[in-house]
Amino acid sequence: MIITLQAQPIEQKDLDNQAQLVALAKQGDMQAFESLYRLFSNKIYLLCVRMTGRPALAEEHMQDAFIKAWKALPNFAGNSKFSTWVYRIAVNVVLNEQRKNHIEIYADQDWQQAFEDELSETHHPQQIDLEKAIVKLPAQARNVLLLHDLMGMTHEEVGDTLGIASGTCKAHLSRARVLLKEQLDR
Amino acid sequence: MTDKQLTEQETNALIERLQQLPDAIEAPDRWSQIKAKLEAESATGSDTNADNDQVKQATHRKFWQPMAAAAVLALAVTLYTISPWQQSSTESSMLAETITEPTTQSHSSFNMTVASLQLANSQYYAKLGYQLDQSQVGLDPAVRQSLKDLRSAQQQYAGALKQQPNDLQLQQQLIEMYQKERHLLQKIIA
Repeated sequence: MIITLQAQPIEQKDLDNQAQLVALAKQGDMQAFESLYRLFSNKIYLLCVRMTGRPALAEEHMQDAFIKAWKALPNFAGNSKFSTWVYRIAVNVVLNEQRKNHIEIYADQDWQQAFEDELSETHHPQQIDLEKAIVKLPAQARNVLLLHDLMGMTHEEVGDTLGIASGTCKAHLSRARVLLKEQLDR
Repeated sequence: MTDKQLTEQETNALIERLQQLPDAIEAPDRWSQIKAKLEAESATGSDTNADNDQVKQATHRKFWQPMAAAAVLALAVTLYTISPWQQSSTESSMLAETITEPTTQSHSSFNMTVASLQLANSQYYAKLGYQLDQSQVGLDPAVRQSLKDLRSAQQQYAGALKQQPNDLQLQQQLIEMYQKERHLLQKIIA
């Protein structure tokens, strides 16, 4: 299983701190929630950028995700990590938007430049090419690839999230990988 | 669907590249907007309890519209019932008269006045919430504190009136607090 979004080793004391922050935020402590925002906003933002291909849109979605997270916090049972829970919220925010306003990326020169600028501080050129190739995938193939290969969800979880059968999910993933490789080989 | 398949080696190489991607990029700081939205929703009486349905797209616009409509309707009914209150130029004096002549005004009139002021203010809060939502700018902390103080004072006067329901001075002060709140809200919204 691949869990790139959580690939950094997390120390126990960090998890304890997070648990404390979550507990405080659940009680309505806005400062604790701000700390959680500071911890996860960069990751959530990248997830949204990957799903939308548009930094401005990703910014809106990231914001909506944290607003929804705050509202849903009292019901957060702690059965999963807070990070996993908030990623799911962000994914749902983006998917809902995609269902309402399905927009494909028009990968013109301006878009490429803006996208590269957004990633230039954290990615080397080959990684930027890979990110661009991911974003240019058809929406469903892209979503499956992101949820499975980058977020580490199982096919069943991806299927539940996207509302498709797990067999369909496997087919989309296979297609996404082929298309991705073709783009990278060009 | 394409019939092509990657070999196991190609798949592993691709997954390895994906795994090596950074897991975060510098996000624009949206905390102040998030905080402002949450506070605006809280101020407009939004239910800040769990919204566990992550799929639902309950926009702020959807939230304030029925609330504002209800406030307008109730306000219109109340104004129809106690029309002198409606005239803004003589509003304060008319209200004062209303509460300084207890022999001609019943408790229900006072209660209706308070109810209409509350509804009017809730309408302004709804509008303010919408404006904050649209502008993405938070409310000035000093203004927020003033509104908080006014609501606190209202609660105190309302509590005192429960003990002394016929105290005209308390009634007058309670109404003044609602008026001040409304004037402040009008200023913010303008």
